[in-house]
Amino acid sequence: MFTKIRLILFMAVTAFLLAACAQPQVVEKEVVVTKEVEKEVTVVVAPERIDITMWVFGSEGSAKADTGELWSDFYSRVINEYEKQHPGVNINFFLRGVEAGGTTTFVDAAVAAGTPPDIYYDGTFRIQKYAQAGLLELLDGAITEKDKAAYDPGILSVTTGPDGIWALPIGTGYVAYVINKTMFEEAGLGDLLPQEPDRNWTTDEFLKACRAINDPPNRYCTMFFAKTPSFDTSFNNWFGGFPGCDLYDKEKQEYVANSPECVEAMTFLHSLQEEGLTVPGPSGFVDDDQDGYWKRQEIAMTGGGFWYNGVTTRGLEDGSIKGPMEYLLVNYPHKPGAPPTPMGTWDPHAWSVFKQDNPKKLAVILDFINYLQQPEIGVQIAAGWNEVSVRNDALNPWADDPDWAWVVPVVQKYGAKNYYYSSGVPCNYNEVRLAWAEARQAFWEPDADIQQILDDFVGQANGIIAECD
Amino acid sequence: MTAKLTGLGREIWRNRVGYLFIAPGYLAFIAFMFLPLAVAIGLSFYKASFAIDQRQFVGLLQYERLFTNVKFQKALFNTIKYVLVVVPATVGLSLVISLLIHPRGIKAQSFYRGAFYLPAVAGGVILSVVWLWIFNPTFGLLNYLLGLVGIEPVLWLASTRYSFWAVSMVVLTFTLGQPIILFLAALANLNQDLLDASVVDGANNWQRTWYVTLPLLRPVILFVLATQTIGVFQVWETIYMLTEGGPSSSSTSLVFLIYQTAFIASKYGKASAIGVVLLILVAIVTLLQLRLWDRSEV
Repeated sequence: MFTKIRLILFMAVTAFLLAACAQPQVVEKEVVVTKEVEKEVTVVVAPERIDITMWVFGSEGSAKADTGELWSDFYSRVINEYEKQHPGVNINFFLRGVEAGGTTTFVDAAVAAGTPPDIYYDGTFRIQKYAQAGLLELLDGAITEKDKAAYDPGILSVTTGPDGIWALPIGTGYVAYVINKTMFEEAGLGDLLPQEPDRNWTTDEFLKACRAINDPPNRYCTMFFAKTPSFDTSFNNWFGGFPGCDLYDKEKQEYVANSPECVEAMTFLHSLQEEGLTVPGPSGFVDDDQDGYWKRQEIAMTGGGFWYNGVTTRGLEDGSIKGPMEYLLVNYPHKPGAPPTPMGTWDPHAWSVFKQDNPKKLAVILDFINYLQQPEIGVQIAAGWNEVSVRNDALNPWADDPDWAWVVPVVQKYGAKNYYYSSGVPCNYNEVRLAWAEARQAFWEPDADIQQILDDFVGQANGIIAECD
Repeated sequence: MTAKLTGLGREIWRNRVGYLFIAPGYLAFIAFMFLPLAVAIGLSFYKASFAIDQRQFVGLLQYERLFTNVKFQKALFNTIKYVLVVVPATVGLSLVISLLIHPRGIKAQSFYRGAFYLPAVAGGVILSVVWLWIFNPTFGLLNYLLGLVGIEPVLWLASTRYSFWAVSMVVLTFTLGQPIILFLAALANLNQDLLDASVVDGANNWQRTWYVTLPLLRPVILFVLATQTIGVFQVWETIYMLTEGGPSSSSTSLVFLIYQTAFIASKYGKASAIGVVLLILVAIVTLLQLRLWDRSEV
């Protein structure tokens, strides 16, 4: 008897658990209104409920870099407004991310499980692999011709494939060299810094300033990091000062970082370490470590550019930087006789949409994307990432900031470049970036054979892209 | 045969309540251990990314490629090196520490047991964060201490020469606790008559330890050796936190390579093939150890 009871209980619990795991079904409600006077029956179907899942890269509690507002609060406002205007549309928003050296395991796992979000916002390099796997909708229908004309064509081309736009870029950041101006001025070395209006300098001028301010172990001139692929743009941008040095050749469809120009660039950088001008051991650091050295004012200048707008401002506000500390953004140095370095950019952040079965839902999603990319919303999203909007009709909130006033004409004059994106993004990008991080780690070894390291990297990277389908 | 099966069925039916009680455990094992293992073995014959429905059968290609892949070779070599360095060090050190703690009073024993087990409770991630600071090249405690005796700062995590040893050292700190507990328990249960007899026979402390205590501890030593070997084969979080396998793969391991291959490069087929190689490796080593164990019990 007891056995039977136990069996029944077990089955009941199992049934309950299985029921709990089952997909909830959305029931379409039918409202029947009877007009007794006319003796007719009218069936009014309530507007179809559309549930949209929207994921934005980030973790719980992460805030906008410009205003400090929580991303969750910001998006709640934006989404509520849209939902109010579109009854029946229900947008479920989540911050989902966790960077894992170039990918996000949340999204990968969801894709592998067949339950990706409908909408995903992230850096283009993380979105691109989903596009290459044919998992994304084209977003040409999300923007009008007028919208399209407002986009920076260079940036839009990054996310446009042969069939159309696979992700809609919103903002991008500039990777200038950032200098602790106060430190130089207090040391009476302010005149060694690049001058207005272009803030360009040669590697010789850079070396002079570097040697003058260097006072290890209390204060190093600069810092590098190579432990992971994260923010490798800040290293890659050094290539711009050595014309002819590039990572990837779009025409030849191969990696070319072992050119004599790249060897020259890397040899110069290596000499900084040999001279004791950098914090020792870049291979053991990630970009977050550099934030710490910057905040503690143990480095005088470094790559990373506009990211340090937010780091410095917030640091001074929350007391993690003991002020006063004024920073100056300047261009990366270029070798004497070469033209000034093009302004580096990090990969644009963009909206993407995973494949949809329901055309009605897709139409709503595209409409929502159109709403999100409008300049007044887009510019707030971009600013939250320390970026500028990629639409030329957007009024950037820091248009009055002298650093932005400097960077825009410089970009117009000398161009902007991202060493992955400007050359076209080949497949297996994350794996190539891992190989590049390894090459950079080897490069910082005291007895590094730079040519050999770059040859090995090129061989490996070309092998990786050869495995593409 | 049919009669046997019928007999088995009857046997199961007779003990159905018992089977029902153990069913959740077995179901969990099948769902979370056996099925993923079977899927991973199957996946190793495919070229598969996160878009798992687009996978393409490639037979043994992933395995062929692995054995010509320099990074895999480095990871395999390092993994074996971790086992050869960390396991004997853990077993040896924990044994010595246990032998030193055992003669102390109960209070002292409890204190030391707690102190040595604490890192195991804290976990690899927390410990690694602490060690990140200790290893820092400019303000780390270790380089500061070395500086006091006139030794130049060392790039513990940023040099191909030291990163492996730095990771091994950290792994050692939190693998010591469990064996110490086991050895202390075993020491407390040793046959006192044999130890007393050795004293009567005139054995000194060293002789008693070497000729009586250690042989009696042999089954426990082999058990610790087997579990530690399996654990060190799977070392991952310390590498992730401290070095990310670098510089230049000098501290990477097979499990870390699986993580990178699957979750960064999104090559699930290749990652599964590495997993299968690791499985075979662990199985061989464990079988060898089990044989030794069997002999020790004879």
